[in-house]
Amino acid sequence: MFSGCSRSVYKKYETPPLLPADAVDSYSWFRQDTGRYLFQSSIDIYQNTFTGLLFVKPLEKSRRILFITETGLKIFDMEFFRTADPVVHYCIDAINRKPVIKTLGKDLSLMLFNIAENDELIMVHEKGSEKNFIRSKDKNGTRFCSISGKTGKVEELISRGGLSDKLNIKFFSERGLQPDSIEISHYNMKLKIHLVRLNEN
Amino acid sequence: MVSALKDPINFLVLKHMNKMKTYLSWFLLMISPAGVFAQDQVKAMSDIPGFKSKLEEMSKAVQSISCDFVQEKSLVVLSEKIISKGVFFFRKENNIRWEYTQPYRYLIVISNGQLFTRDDRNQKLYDIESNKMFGEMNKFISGCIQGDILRNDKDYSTEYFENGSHYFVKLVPRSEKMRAMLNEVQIWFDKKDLTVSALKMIESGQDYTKIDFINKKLNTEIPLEKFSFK
Repeated sequence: MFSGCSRSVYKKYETPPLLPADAVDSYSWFRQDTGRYLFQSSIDIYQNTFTGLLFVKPLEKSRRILFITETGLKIFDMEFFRTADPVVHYCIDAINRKPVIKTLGKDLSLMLFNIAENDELIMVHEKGSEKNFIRSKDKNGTRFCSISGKTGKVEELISRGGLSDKLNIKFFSERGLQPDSIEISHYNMKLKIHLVRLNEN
Repeated sequence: MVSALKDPINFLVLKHMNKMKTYLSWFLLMISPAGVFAQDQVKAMSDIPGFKSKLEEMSKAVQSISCDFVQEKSLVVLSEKIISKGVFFFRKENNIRWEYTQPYRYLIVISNGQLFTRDDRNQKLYDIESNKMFGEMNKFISGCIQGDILRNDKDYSTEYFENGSHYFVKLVPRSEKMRAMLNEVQIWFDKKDLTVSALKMIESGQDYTKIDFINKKLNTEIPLEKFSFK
């Protein structure tokens, strides 16, 4: 899919007009004006599964994510910024380890801010379809986003860092208004985060 | 997390988290306060020995409790609340069932020294006896329901209050480690029957979880199947 980003190789792709100025945010499901989301969540890690509620709230210049158990226990509370590292406001001792926080922060940050904001953006359009693809880079590696022509939002994101660091995020939405479910998986390990949006009304 | 998995020590930490999480969840679940009651003026309890005595009597007389519950998770900094609802069952000795119905179905059963959790995708069974933390957690849960926790002077400092309709007991963990997670536990007892009307667990940062127990029925027949692991 993302090989299309190499424009010179595949003729079925073309470069669309200039990327909109607000492109980096306009394709995201989690913008400042999207309101809060509550997800039923499970984290599968080898033979272990952690379940609970994931709460996402956009703030003016950041996004806040809290993970709590069904019974109300707060597991972690993190704040994410587009260009800065996440801030951990709270994390229970049991998982408050640097590598854990780093990976968790990176995964969730990519879920919120899909496209890196810099001059290395490349966007291509798949001829005969409504899909666009965006490649962006930052210090953590390269991100490839598939943009749905139907919803105008990211439907799949692949992030590649080092040789063994590869992450996939899939967004599912039936009506194109909100993300109904999200799946975050790593290629090289049995780690998967599954989120299903809860209707609180 | 990726790096953690490559590191056996950190992986063990993660593996342990599942048990820890359930334990802490239960612990926190038991410690949240009641907004309705918080609005009432409370004063220092006038007859603490009398209250304890009545609680003791209630504890002996009550064989079972079934009720609805409303759980409110308040994220103070974000001015947000998350509401969960469900049904609660207790049958002596130490059979407990929390059945969440909103925002989604989730079941927790404690019985025969085991703890069982289930949602639409996963189910888990833990042996409470083999895990000291689970053992403590179980004691805490039944202790709150039956009031035994008020005898635990070693782990909590206790203050007693009352208003027109309720007795109100404030528990502050003595351990600094525990206080880092949980500042205070409040338990509200209905003056009519001495049953727990609400629990509030106040975390550091003032976020809290509050559970109101409503539509209580005492000593009705609750079949043991309610506490089976399925």
